[in-house]
Amino acid sequence: MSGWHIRLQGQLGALAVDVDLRTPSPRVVLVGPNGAGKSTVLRAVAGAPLPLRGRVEVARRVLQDDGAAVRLPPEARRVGYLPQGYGLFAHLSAQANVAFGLTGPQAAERALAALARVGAAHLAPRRPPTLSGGEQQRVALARALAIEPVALLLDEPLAALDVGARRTLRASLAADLDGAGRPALLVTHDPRDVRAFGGVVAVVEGGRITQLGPWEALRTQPASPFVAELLGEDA
Amino acid sequence: MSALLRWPLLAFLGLPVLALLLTSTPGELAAAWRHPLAGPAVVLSLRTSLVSLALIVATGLPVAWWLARARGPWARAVETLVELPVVIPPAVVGVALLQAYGRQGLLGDGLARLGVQLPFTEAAVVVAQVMVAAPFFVQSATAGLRGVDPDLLLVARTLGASPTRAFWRVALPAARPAVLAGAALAWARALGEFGATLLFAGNLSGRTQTMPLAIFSALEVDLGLARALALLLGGLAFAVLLGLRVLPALRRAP
Repeated sequence: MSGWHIRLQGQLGALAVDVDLRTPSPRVVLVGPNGAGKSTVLRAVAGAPLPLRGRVEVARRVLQDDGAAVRLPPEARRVGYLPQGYGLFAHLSAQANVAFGLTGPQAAERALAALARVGAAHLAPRRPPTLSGGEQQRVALARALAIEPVALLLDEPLAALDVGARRTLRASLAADLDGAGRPALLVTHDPRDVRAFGGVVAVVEGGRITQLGPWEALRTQPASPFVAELLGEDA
Repeated sequence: MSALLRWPLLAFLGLPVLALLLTSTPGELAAAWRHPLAGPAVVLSLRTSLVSLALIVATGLPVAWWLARARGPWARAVETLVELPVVIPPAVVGVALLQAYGRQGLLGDGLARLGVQLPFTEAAVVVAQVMVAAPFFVQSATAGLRGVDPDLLLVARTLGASPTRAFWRVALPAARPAVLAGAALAWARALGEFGATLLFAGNLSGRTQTMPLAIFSALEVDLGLARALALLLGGLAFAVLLGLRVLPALRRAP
């Protein structure tokens, strides 16, 4: 099965996390109100040191299984993680950012090629603070894809953009995800993103998955007022 | 508030510096430079303060990194403990150091058996400087490292970096302004250390007599010499401050 199996439990501050997410779909879009635990799920999958116990499996690779005392460190997980705001290293050029995850000879050339694949080769010498939100997203995506990850984790990849850039980049990001052909876990609060990304939608509320299914299924049977409201925005 | 209200303090702060500049003559400065008291004190001050700075940075960074990420009462307690030398008067630090490493001190016997006599040596100067100056570095570096977005480190780790590499390549560069500011402050504090040094290391010309102590000694024999040494030390400290304020600004505007 190429999909996801995430079972995480624990207390994080005021939030009681009890996530059970099992789906054969390689692409999952997490939606939910602020503070519901969406970003937490992404960080846990990336390997952040959180007090959450359970099991994380993607595309048959076990990243964490506390029952078997398995918890891979982030550097052994081979996941490409784009946090909110993209997490570019401000003191490094775009090319050096991408090369950060590469080792061996020709790391610089391979970084440049990775930038070119997302149409960002011309940004190579620029520092992240001088880039627009959309350009930062391209560079961060190139950096995450350059390590040939088994899965991608994208936290609000379009939230930082203005309306025009959002529309363009939504389409190209969806195309990149299809082209990369890798399992991906995405967080968004915009129903237009949900539709563009496709895959299965998981609704996270209060640290739990309250509904799981394709967008159309949520449409016919919204399980909570939050889902109904989200669908209402999808005009 | 009225603009006039800011002048009293500014005048008060500026006057002594102005007085020092105005009353010293170039001839005095040249004479002071050749005086047997000056040379060794300058060299000793630079050597000990730079050694102290190196020790503070090397031992302070791991502490700051831990304090920046640790939560809970233990870390807060240690943080307060580390800041203690900031509020404790240097004279108290001097006595405390004697109680710890002096012949009658806690570790005195042990050190004596190893053939080590710490008080009234150049090493004692360094110990006193590290003690009073380290908190300034740890405080500033901790604040800087605490401001580093944890997601940046997680990204670095997912890109294959070990925790050590993530620290050196991502956390430290991101916190660099605060770490450099802390280092400069600590250096300036070490350079000016007087009280703890006097009590724990003494005022032995050529051995433990740093510039502040040389000024103190010169004051008893030759006011002009004291003035010139003070100007020299003040100039050094001012250079540190200038480096602290001007260099980062230059880097921001390439």
